[in-house]
Amino acid sequence: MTAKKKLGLSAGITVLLVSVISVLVIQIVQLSGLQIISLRGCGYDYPMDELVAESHLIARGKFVGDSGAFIVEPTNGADSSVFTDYYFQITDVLRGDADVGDTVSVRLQGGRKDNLYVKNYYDFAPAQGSEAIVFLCKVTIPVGYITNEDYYLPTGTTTRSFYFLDSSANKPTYKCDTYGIEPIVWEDEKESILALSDDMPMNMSVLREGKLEELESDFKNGKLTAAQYSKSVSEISGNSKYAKRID
Amino acid sequence: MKKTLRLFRIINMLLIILIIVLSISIFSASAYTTTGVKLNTDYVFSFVPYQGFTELTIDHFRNSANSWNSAAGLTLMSVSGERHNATGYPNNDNKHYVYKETRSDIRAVGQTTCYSSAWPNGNVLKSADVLINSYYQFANSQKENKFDTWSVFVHEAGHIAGLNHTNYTQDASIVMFPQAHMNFLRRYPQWDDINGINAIY
Repeated sequence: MTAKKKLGLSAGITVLLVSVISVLVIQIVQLSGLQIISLRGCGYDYPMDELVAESHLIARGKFVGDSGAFIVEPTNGADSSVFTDYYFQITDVLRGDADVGDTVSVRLQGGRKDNLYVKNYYDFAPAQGSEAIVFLCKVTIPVGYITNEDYYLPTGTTTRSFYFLDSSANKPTYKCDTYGIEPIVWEDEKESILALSDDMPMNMSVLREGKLEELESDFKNGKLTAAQYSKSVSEISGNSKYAKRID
Repeated sequence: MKKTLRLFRIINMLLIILIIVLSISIFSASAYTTTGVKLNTDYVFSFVPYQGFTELTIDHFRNSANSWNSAAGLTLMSVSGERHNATGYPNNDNKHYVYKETRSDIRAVGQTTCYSSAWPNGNVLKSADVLINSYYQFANSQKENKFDTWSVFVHEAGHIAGLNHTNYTQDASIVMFPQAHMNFLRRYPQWDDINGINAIY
């Protein structure tokens, strides 16, 4: 090998090494600024009647897309967190105020936005195109990460609130709460949910209008003093009480 | 004769396979999973409870921490004599608070928020907060329509120690079972929890 060739080879290796090191340094700089927040917890294994009662919308449909991650900044002094809205297109309504063909947003905590990476280990993100029966609730009183927007939360953790169905129509999968023991038969599920839905009143205490009515009733019945009533009403009134969404 | 021998051979082979399958299902049922982030054993992780918890509840928190310590054979965590009056779970202030808040926006009975960095020391916990979500009803014992606070807290403390939910979902008495149940106690680490904590430390 000539000296020229040797030199060329050495230079090539040097360039390659510098490139690799640069990539590694960039990675390290990015990672060193990344804050990882891991959420874990235990959900309530809702029996079906309570799951129905707590749900403001029970529907069958398909997850058709998502908003991408965004930050929510609460007003209670807690840390900001990352959320994603998943869009669910409805094909059948079993309970609640929605129509076939509507697309509703289902909000889940978790995702990466800028230097904030929230890993949610007890909920799982639904895959686009997956078909499910979903049990959803609406929280419209200003608490924690609730923003003043139109969206739903899963009623319990996602393992309890999303019953995934096979994309090839009615082929049964398994009930989440039975951990793969009891298969889902859609028509049976539908009948039992519809029957329960007729019997179970909705939980209105997490809805702003419902909460206001409840407070007014407690005040009229003497359960709350005028000062307590006024304080409670002011706590759930006004847009400034809601968390702020930052896209 | 030859045919019989062959038949026996086949039967024996099938029996051996059956024994292997049964043995695997009985003896290799360990299903703990770990978070990949563990406590720094150079110091003791100390929880600071909210002042609104009763002394009995705080005793139960202490028992929970001690049971994980016993399982690990190390003093990993404790409960501080301090109390806090903060709201605003979670907060990355390195104070390790146990909050009691009514959080209808969080669809979990108990929740743990763990803070770590990606690099360096990505496998060591920097800080953590615990929420006992009073949107749900709690008691300090096994009661109808209520969750036992001890049982919920010991589960959350398990997350802080580095355990994820178990994959062994046939036994709800395992502390790291994913779901909480009302009118039910699961206060002490079970075989799968103990295997898990000993695999970490």
